[in-house]
Amino acid sequence: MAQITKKNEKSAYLFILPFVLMFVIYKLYPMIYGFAVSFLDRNSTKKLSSIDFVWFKNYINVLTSKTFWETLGRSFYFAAVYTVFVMFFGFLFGVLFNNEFKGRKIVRTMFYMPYVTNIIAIGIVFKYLLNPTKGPINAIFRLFGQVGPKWLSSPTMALPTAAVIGAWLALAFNIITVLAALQEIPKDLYEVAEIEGVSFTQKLWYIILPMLKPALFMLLTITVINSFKSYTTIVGLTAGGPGTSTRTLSYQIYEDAFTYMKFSIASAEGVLLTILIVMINNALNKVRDLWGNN
Amino acid sequence: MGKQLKQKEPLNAFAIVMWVLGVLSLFPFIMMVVISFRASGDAYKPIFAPVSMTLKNYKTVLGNDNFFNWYSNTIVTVCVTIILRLAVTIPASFAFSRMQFKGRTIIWAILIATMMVPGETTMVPRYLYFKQIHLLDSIWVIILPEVSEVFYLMLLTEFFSSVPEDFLEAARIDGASNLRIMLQIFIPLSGASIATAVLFSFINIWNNFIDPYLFINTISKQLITPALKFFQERGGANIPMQLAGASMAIVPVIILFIVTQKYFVAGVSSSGIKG
Repeated sequence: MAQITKKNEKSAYLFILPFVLMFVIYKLYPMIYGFAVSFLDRNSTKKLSSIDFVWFKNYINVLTSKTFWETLGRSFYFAAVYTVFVMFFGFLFGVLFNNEFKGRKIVRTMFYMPYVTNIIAIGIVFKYLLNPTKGPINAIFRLFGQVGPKWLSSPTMALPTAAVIGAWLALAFNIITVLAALQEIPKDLYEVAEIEGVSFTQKLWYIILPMLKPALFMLLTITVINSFKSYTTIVGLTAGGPGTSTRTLSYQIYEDAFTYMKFSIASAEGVLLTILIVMINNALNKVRDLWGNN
Repeated sequence: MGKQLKQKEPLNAFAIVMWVLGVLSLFPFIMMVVISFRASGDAYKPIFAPVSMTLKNYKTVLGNDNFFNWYSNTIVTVCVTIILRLAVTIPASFAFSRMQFKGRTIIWAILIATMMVPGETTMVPRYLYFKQIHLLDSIWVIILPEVSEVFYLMLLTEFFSSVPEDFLEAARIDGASNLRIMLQIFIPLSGASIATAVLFSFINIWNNFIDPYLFINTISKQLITPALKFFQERGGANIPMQLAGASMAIVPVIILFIVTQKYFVAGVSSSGIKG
């Protein structure tokens, strides 16, 4: 009877049909359509349904514009701050929460809560807290006779500040994953370590890190990919400002499409963003394979 | 609170540090609630300043006709999406985890690959396409595209694959059809995993900003999360009122999360470690 599961079951197509149908209509088709639009000339409200094929004109325009490279640079800056914050604190708190202490469950809930909320609601309170002149955070600076930074209103501080807030909101995913991976480490490994009397640093370096390598790599991939999807964080906190100082590539796509009505340019930028994410993903997979072979 | 704590857990310096950090992580939420009860003019007075509390902001927020619309639109969108999502995803996950068919590997690979395409990339084509098919400005523009999300297909396929084959053996010998096996064996066995999918769906759709912000124009048809943005633009400088709106907007997900934390953690762990 076991062969039944091996043969081609035609009824399987009926099982996947509703999902695949909805996927093709509402997910796959827009992706292909967007790719097509990036080769058209829909760059003003009048040309919304233009079908003039302009080859790589939009890509050339994007790649030769200063704005694109600036927004790309900001995307990388945002991604770097975000990734370092999420990876470091995700690991740190994962390890800390792996120890018993009074009220661990409640404290864990406190750390997970930001993850289930959104930057639009949370952005309102952060803009209040970080208000340069009246906000409570800079009031603390004044208490020590210092002038606090302008945070989200400063052209130099706004982008890293937004990245840290976005990271704080996303942190729980990494903490939970690190914690779950830690709990899969066989208990006897620790027991042997106890008997041998190794220090915490040795335990970290010789047990925890090697055992967590697959989980950490997976987290790094997810975190880096998410770090390039900064649109919502930027909208919730700075709307691209002050000036253009927080316009990342992901935010610029929105601006080009819905403020300047350059739909084809925005589509080309979207395709480039996808290519970037795929390249980063492949690079990280390569690094993982190289490390895995050691 | 104290009753839940086990005796063996030490309350030491480490515990105190963790508690302080926990409160620090909650600080923005605490401030959100505290300031939302202040009058507009008192917003920036020090935290412990003796200012009088007022319910006025919540009255204004709840008294707004649109606020009720945003809430009910969001609840309807969340519920309808979850039902449709489960209806298409459960059979598909069952097929991918338990059935052999031609093209299985390639279809799966295509589905997974599309997960790397960010929402920003398809912003423009979705807008143009939904405009063409007259889907804009209704909750269906949010619901229909959310029905087949690959993430949930992965999540449920993962769960279904872990059901031991023994459970199916007897049913297959009796000649039960795949449909019956799915309905009578898999679905009853998968209560916890389906609960996880429902919980994740609820949180994600509730917090969804980009799609409703771009595709819904009429203010009374808007959902709660993007509505906060309009609220900010119109509410102007009245920060306590904005915070009252924000608190009202996140209270349902926070309550849901606290009640169902177990499923939430299980969902993240399984999508994380195995993913």
